[in-house]
Amino acid sequence: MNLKEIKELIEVLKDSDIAEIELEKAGTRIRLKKGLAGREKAQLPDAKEELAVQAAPQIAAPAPESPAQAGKNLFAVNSPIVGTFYRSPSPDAAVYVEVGDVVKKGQILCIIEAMKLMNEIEAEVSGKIAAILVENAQPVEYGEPLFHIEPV
Amino acid sequence: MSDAGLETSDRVTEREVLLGLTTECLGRNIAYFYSTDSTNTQAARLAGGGAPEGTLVIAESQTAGRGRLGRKWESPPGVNLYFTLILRPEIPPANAPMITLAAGAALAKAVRALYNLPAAIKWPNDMLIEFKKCAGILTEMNAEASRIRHVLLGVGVDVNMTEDMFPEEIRDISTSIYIARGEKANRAELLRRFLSEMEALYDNIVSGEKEIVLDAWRSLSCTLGRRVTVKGLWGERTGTATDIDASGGLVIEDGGGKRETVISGDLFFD
Repeated sequence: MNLKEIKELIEVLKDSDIAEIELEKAGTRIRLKKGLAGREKAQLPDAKEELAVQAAPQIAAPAPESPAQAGKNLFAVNSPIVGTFYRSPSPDAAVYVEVGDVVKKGQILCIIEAMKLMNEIEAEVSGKIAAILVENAQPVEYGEPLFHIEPV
Repeated sequence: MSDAGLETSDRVTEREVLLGLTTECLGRNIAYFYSTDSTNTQAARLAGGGAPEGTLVIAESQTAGRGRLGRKWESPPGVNLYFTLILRPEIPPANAPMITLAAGAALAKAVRALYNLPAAIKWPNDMLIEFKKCAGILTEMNAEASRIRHVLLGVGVDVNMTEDMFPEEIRDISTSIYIARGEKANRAELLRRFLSEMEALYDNIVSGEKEIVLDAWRSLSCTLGRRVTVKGLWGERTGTATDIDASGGLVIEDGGGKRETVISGDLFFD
């Protein structure tokens, strides 16, 4: 992962409702977290573990050897194809899932569209939706994390 | 609705479809319905129950025929083709969009060959005749991270629909084989030809020969070289459609020579 990609990630985070992104690519793991001045304050996990700074996203040191995310054992649902991410089956329909929802293995979480091929993404584990990492109708890359599920 | 009556000679029952079918796999196993909610929905049930590769789910009418993002697909009885193929290709999920491009190409090929009509593809896979929509394809995939469980290739072709049968709001932008040709077409014959064209392209995809499919698509497209606007929930892009990339995405070049590839949305000709 190069500096340009990290900067792009920061932009994505800034303009989104997401409080925190963690992803792994080619052996490098990175976690970005919004500053505590952000409006997501109340939902942030234990801040003592983080090197949070005020008002700006911050880059945690890459930790190639680190095991699963500290404190929580989160399961990432990744996109199997390049496509467009939809949170609901049609623009007027209710979203498949919200953060905090408890989902069962096999339950549909979202659709990824590419060339009018609609790919229904299912939960690979049962658990609670800890984070939705992409905004509706945005493009996603192959292997990009879409959701974090906290297995139960 | 007098034209909509079912003549015994033009049904798309298992017997009618199999008579003269030249494929090895596609359409060899058939589930026929006089009426169903949607052939894609029906196919999802059958695929979940283990229906084999190449299973054809076909209906004379659909009560809840659907297109992209939950849109309605007009499905009056006995006049058109509404079917879904259940496919289980052993290819990476990332290559699955090739199947949708291949289906558009196979359909355009079949219509050109049988009726000598100028059928062409609007990106990604609508079949048009003289820039009016004659067929739509909606594909639904169920896949794990690296393995496809099944692909449901849903196809709706307006075959013998008359002008008055189209809802008013889409009448000007829609056509059928019958309207374009001035003569009714045998639906089972068109279906068999499609299956045979599709099987050849599908075999190319499974054996890793994507370029053959991309080239077939390019040669049958009415999209490339034109000024287009693609509108999606993500926004829109306008420019000249110059090519499709290796994944089937549409390359659009704006006036300044800047190129972008779009992978979803509705295409409009400027």
